[in-house]
Amino acid sequence: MSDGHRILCRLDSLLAARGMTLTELADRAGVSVVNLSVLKNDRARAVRFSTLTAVCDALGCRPGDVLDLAPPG
Amino acid sequence: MVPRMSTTKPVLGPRSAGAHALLLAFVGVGAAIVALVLVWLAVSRDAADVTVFLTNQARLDVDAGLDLPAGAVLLGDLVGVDLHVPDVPLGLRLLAAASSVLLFLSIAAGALALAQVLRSVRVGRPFAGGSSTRLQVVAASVLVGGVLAPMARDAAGFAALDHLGLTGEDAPFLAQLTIPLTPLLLAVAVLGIAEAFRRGALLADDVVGLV
Repeated sequence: MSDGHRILCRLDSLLAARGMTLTELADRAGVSVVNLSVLKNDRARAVRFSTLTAVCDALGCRPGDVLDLAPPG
Repeated sequence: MVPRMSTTKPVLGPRSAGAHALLLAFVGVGAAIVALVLVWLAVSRDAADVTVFLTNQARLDVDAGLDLPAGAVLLGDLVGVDLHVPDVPLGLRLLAAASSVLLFLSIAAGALALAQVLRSVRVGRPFAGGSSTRLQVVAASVLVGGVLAPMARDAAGFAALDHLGLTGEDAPFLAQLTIPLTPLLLAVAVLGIAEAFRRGALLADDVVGLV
């Protein structure tokens, strides 16, 4: 977490809950593994709505399940 | 499923950009060497060659001397000729060489700067590494080589005619100051591209970390 934001990505737990690998998600969502890795490891500074839509469709979840807000400090 | 982003064929592919960058680097280094040789020649010689223009009367005199067939006539307003001037001081020799030296130096600077830009294009990061600044150098080179160099040539012509005492009404030559407009327009166009690259660099920085 950096760059003046407190957004956390829950992709790790979502994948674990579904027994899915990052590569499988990349195939299903049509998003590159590199980009998903950046997102999973909280190195993303911005997310396209199209990427978020694809990830949610592939995981069967809502945007709020993928992203969370860390407490201040 | 989100459709993958469509791609277009690159205008200048990595291999082509690399080859052009190498060629430009060679041209740049070659031009710099030529400029140095020209300076050395200007210092070591005791004469200078300048470009001046034949007056209308001189042109008509040449026309009469050519004995051309009936009806054929030498045309042209301000016909340019190269005038060899012996025994000139160092300052005038350097001024006479300034036009060519400026031209080759501008070619060297412009080619090397453009080569750097093409190298950035080759590695897929066209906006990185100060490409905008390098394109501004290219624009400045166009101005120096396309505008200042011809002006230096004209100034050398004036000085040489003055040195020879050929500035009177009945002199066969005259010198004239010309300001080329095409290089000015080209420099503005290159500056526009430099500005586009500057904004591109800002956009590229903006999308770092975008997924």
